[in-house]
Amino acid sequence: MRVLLWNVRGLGKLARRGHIRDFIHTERIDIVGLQETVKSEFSKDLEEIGGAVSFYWFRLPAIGRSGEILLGVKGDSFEVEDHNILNYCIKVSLRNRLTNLKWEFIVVYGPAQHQHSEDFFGRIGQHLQH
Amino acid sequence: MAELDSICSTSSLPCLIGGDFNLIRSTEEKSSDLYNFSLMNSFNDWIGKFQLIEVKRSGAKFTWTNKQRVPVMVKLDRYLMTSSWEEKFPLCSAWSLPRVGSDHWPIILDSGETNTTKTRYFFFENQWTLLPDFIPSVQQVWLQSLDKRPAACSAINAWHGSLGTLRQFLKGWNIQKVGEQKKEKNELLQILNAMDGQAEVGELSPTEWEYRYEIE
Repeated sequence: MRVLLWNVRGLGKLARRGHIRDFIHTERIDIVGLQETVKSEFSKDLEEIGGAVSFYWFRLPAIGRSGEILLGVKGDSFEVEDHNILNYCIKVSLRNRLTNLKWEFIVVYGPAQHQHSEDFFGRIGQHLQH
Repeated sequence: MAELDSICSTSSLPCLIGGDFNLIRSTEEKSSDLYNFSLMNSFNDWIGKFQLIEVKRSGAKFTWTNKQRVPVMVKLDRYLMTSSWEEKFPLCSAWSLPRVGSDHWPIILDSGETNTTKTRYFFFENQWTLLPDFIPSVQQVWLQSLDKRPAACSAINAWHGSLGTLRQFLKGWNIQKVGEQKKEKNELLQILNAMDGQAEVGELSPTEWEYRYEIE
């Protein structure tokens, strides 16, 4: 099982999407976590990235100062039993279809500007009520 | 961090956390010498609180560059695992790919599970003996192997050497036979398909039916 993480700085460029697709295939990636996927034409881009491999996609849109996160899970490898799209992260509960092992994956994107760390902690605190 | 806090504390499943944290753990993780020590401390405290373990990564030391002529480079991206995740995947490893396009390096984690691919043992297939060219081929290979024996060679070593050569030959021979059988099967299946198609419009003579059943 392989995970790819990449802060891609935008999926708008054709070449960038091509890179990700190449990585997914040549490196046999099962889970892909991308940050800063700005200005992506969601469904069309995702289809292109996955190519022939089918992925479940989850997206945390950019809100204020936190950037966008995209999380893809290869459907052949894992069943996604639960997912939570939260501030600064996406969390999925996975079941390995072969071994039945259950585990969780969290892809995070922390704020770039640390003077906003207080804001970051504050916003996150609000989520604790849920 | 409070959010990650709540997630980790309520989670009982093995958990892997990864991404661009935009935080560093030590001065070594940044190429310039401007550091925010309190931020480093709180990040390390948080990692310690949940007993997270960083997955060691090979490849480029940093994961981000400001792309200047004298670049500032920082390790912003990483994988952290809970101890229960490490227990499940003790052989996991990580590495970075070459950086192209983005100012971040892509980083890959491999869980290191032992693949379920079987060792390719040698198995003798009884059906080989039914093939007409089996015995002549074995004879030929065995005789050829006699020439390859070193001059001073004990009988048992000679026997093992010839057996090894024979095994190697039979493996290849089998692959070729299986391929031929597959090809023949596909051709026959195509004929069957075509005939069944014809039969649907009721144009098959008894002899044609006989032929079809024979193929089957």
